[in-house]
Amino acid sequence: MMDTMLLDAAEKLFAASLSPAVITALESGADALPLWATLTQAGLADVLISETQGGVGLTMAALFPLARAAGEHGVPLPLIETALLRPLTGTLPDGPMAIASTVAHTAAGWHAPRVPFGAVAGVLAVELDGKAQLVPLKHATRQAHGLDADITLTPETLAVALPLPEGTALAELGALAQAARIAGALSKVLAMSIEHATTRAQFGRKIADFQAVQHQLAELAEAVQLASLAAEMGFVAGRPEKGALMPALAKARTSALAARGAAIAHAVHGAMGIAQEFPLQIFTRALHSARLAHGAEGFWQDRLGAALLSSGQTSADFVDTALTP
Amino acid sequence: MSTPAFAPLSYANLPDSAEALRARIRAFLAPRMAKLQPQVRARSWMGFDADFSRALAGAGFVGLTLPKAYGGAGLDHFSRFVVVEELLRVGAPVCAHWIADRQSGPLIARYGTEAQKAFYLPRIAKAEAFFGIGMSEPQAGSDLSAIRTRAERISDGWRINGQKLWTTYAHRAHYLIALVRTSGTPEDRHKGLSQLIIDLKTPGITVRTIPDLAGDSHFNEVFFDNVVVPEEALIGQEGGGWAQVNAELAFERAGPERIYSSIVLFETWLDALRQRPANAVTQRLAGRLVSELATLRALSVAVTARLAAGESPLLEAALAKDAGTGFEQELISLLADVIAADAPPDLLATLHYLMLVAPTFSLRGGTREILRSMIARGLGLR
Ligand SMILES: Cc1cc2nc3c(=O)[nH]c(=O)nc-3n(C[C@H](O)[C@H](O)[C@H](O)COP(=O)(O)OP(=O)(O)OC[C@H]3O[C@@H](n4cnc5c(N)ncnc54)[C@H](O)[C@@H]3O)c2cc1C
Repeated sequence: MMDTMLLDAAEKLFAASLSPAVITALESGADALPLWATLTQAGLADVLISETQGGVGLTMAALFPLARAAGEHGVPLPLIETALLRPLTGTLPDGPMAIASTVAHTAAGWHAPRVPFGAVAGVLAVELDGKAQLVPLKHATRQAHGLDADITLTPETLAVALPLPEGTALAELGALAQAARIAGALSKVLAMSIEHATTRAQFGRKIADFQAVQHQLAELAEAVQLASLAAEMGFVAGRPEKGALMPALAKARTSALAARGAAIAHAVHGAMGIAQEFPLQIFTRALHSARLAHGAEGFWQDRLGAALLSSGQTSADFVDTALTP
Repeated sequence: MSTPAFAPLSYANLPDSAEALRARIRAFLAPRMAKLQPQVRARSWMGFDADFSRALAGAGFVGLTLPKAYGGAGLDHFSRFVVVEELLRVGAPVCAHWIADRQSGPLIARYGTEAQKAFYLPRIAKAEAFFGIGMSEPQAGSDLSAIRTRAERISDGWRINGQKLWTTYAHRAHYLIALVRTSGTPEDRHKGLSQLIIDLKTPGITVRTIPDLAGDSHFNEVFFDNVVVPEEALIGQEGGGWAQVNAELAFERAGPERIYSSIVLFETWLDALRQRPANAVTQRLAGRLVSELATLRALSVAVTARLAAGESPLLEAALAKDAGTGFEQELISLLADVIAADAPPDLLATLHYLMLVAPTFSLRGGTREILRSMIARGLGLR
């Protein structure tokens, strides 16, 4: 009951504070802090924190509908990454927390490419030399790509880093957040595609009358259903450990479905979907970006395949014991 | 923001009461399945073994959802899910009792008279009465309303003339539930159709088997030449056949039936894979397929949970079936793609068989195109 009230309130807040214009502005470098303040003042970053510590005390399973809704509304901030990390940090750090799951050492410092929401984050959760930590980004070098960014951490930025608990499964947490984002964005592009197909007319009738269009949208609805379940299973399984399989399932399935779903939505929208001023692209770009974030489907399928083969179990037993939350 | 056209189902767990059945059905199956080759087990739905079905019934696993008063197990949808899932996962030869268990029995329980229930249901639960489904005809495939087989009322029953086609195991079943025209003409479409329970030993019935492309004999043509059946053959409402058949097909589409048709191949391939050093391509493919399987299974449980809650999730069941049969088919071609020159003979035999019958997965019980059109209607597109 508490959960549905929270979800309703969050959806209202998303609807009231987000629009294609707001999202596009953030993608173009506008200040993200006012929107972040709105979301955090509503307590949305603290939902996993216990009630005694001023949070809502949601379970990971109960966070999923909120995470999905954030994707559906196109929340252009790492709200879910932050919510997932919050129980591991003390006070709320300065600004939203993005997650980098891989970094490379370069001459300029540690380099993390294409960090999802890296352009609008205030803090980066990253593992360096085996230690998970929170690095404030005020003085980091960033090359923004819309909401994502290539981030370089110089020695000075690292001086102010705060430790995260040992063994924090950053890649898995990041994968869960982006899986839910895909599930939500797929719902959004299905709704937009249905709306478009039932209003756009060609050959004297609405394009939804054409069976080829109907059948593609049926397939998109399947992608919406399957992505939502796969992502939810990842959340229902609870806080992941490093190497966990449920985030791998969530990210492997949603990533593959993101690509198919975006392709169908564009096919149905025709040239209109390609135009920058039409909002479909906000969500299909999110789908592509989220698909690649923290590794696309093949990367996570490798983990699942290795575990299945070494388990010695039948696929049925493996599904029941390892891939059912 | 307006309400979404489609709200996906949420994750649901199988309850412990249903899970409790799993060990029992596994113990029943293990000794019986151990010696069967994978290419035999891959036939599963098409495998007819009356002794197996009767033993299964003896152990209490047939007529799972039929009321206890009529010899059924009186179990819920979740329990049926677990039992059916375990049968299909090992490729048990379920065909003999299958149609009666999943379609005819529930149909009779829902629409039958007291006498019909008392006569048929205990026999179904004991695997003594096997059923066939007489819907398709030469001119009525996807479009069932084009049915021409006609039953005229006579003084003490019905006289049937016409032909059914593709009737699975009509040559071995005891009864056929046929959808026939009891009034009007094919131009009246779905009006005037009724369902009759026909004893296949009735004079005037000729059953001719149609061998399939793999050399198996499971489906048939069934001819009716002035076949006379009693008044009580009518099941449900006269003229209500269309609604009844649609309820029956909705039931057919739920459950775990639509994800496991290729599972024996997957298991056989995994076994072979474990005999050799891992390779990046096959390892990734194993991961891909098991991730799809786990998600589709969760969807099937989620649909079952809606059924158990007394809802009739037509759109979701159609989605699940279409996605599930797509997976069953794709698994076969993806594994064919990575078959090595030294693949074990059982694996090759299983693959050869499944490649041939794979198209049927998205034909039986409503074709892919028909399902997608149903989904499109559910989405408000038509
Ligand atoms: C192994 C097997 C067992 C079977 N067992 C039984 C049984 O026991 N009892 C029984 O009654 N039937 C049985 N069937 C028949 C099955 O129900 C039919 O095959 C099915 O309903 C399709 O009909 P059809 O084969 O005549 O194909 P058609 O209806 O002729 O379809 C051919 C193609 O046209 C497409 N098509 C048709 N209409 C449309 C439309 N409106 N929009 C878009 N595309 C369309 C179809 O999707 C398909 O691709 C069985 C079939 C198989 C393969």
